[in-house]
Amino acid sequence: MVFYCQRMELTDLKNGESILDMKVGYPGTLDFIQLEVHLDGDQITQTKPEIGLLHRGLEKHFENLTYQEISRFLECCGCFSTMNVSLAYILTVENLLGITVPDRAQYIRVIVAELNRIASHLGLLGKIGSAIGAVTPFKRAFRDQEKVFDLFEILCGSRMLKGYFCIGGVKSDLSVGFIERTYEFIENLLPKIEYYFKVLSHNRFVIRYISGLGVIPPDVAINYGITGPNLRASGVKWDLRKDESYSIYDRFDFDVPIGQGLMGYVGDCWDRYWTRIKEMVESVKIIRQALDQLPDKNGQIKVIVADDAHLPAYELYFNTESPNGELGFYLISDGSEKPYRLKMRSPSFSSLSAIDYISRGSTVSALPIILASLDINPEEIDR
Amino acid sequence: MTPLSIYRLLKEKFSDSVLEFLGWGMQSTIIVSCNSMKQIALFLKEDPRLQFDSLICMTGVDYEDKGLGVIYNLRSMSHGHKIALKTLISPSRPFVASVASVWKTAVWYENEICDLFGVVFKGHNGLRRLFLPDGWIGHPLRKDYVSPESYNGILLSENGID
Repeated sequence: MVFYCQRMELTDLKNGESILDMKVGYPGTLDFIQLEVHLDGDQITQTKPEIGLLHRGLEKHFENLTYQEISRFLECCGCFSTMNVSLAYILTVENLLGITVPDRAQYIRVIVAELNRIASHLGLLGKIGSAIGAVTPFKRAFRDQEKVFDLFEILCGSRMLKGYFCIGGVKSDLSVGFIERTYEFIENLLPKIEYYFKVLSHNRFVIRYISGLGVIPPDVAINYGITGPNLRASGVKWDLRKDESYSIYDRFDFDVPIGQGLMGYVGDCWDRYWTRIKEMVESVKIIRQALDQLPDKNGQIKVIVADDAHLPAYELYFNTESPNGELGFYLISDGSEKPYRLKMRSPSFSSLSAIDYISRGSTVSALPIILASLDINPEEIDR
Repeated sequence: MTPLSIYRLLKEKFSDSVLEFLGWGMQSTIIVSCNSMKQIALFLKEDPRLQFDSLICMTGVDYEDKGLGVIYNLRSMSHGHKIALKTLISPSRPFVASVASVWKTAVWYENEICDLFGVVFKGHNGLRRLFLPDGWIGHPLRKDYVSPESYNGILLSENGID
């Protein structure tokens, strides 16, 4: 993420109050969030985020698309977590259709979704690294992330927007060599996570930069609707994969890491970062179990669902655990082949809405770190 | 608590404002009157038997013949139960009491619904358009919305792109 200041206005010179216009963007792209930061000296008194710069009117657009078509569009809502977004949607529709997906397809989905979670969490490591000016971990994390995308390339020929999941199962069976390469990848990832612990987590300069910053108490996090790793970092043990188990997550044995305030307070930036690193280890556990249990290929890999399938008239909210938090869909069907209304509940939307509370009292230089630690996907917020 | 017992509890407390219970299938919905939304929300959050401390999702919808709807998906982290509340509003007088003071996450959701559906939340400080520019005319997710020909001199119709 890149932060730059567009305008600085000194409102009250005598007391040192000023307004700062900050823009946030990825390198080489347009800016996606504008922050109006009110300062008193160096301290932030108020932060007003201005969103909607990437608004594409997707929810209106969905009303004119069939259910199978929507899943392709949805993938552009996830930055590094494209598959998790389409998985949430596909599970919603499948729940409403009442179909049972073949076992092998379910396992493949879990493997791919967890690989994508690792890719997303590695992306956050890079973001935090670049926010504090540590370039080496940034490069290393993105190198490992590329390896996940290499696996996806073997799987379906595409790195980012894959279109691999479809309603009823997955598009095609696993490619030759995917299982071996995935085993190899997860074996190699664990020493690298150890390496991150050494160079980042327990590096005293990093700790000095990010611990104690942007503390979110658990009750505030719940009140603001913050979910996922950000909520768990505040010490609330809540994971939808365990607490409201969906798909086949109940067949795997994994822990839910929570923030413990090891380097400062519970729920600070370091905890949010550390929870994600711990979660990668848990994802590796799930992938290994899923690969071990993967049923042999016999018969179909998907239930054929027509492109213009009609859904029963019903209303349903269904949520899944995406890398950023709870990603859900409110689907209203009127019995036709197109949704009457499809609302996406995005975790980044709620996380960003709390930025005013979180950043109050900290310095301007801390704001990029706080934003990076929340892991915000702009496409998901603006839809 | 089961959804049905939550409904009975609410019916006991707010007899006239709690209208209907739709409990079949995967989601249980309680339909409430829009006038007493805030009192119901406060009760749901603060009653020790219910403790709905988390508003997961807030959805606006245009039902055309039934009017506009606002749907609240609630969850209790401590008790682990879930419920959906729905309130229906007339499109000509789209007013609902704001729940932003009960659940902070509603501040942005209410802005979003105000932006896209034109529902006015009474008691919300600083209701504004969230996604669309301030000068935008109309509320796009209403079913009778007609997209404008141009915005600030930029042609928006398909002919303009060609």
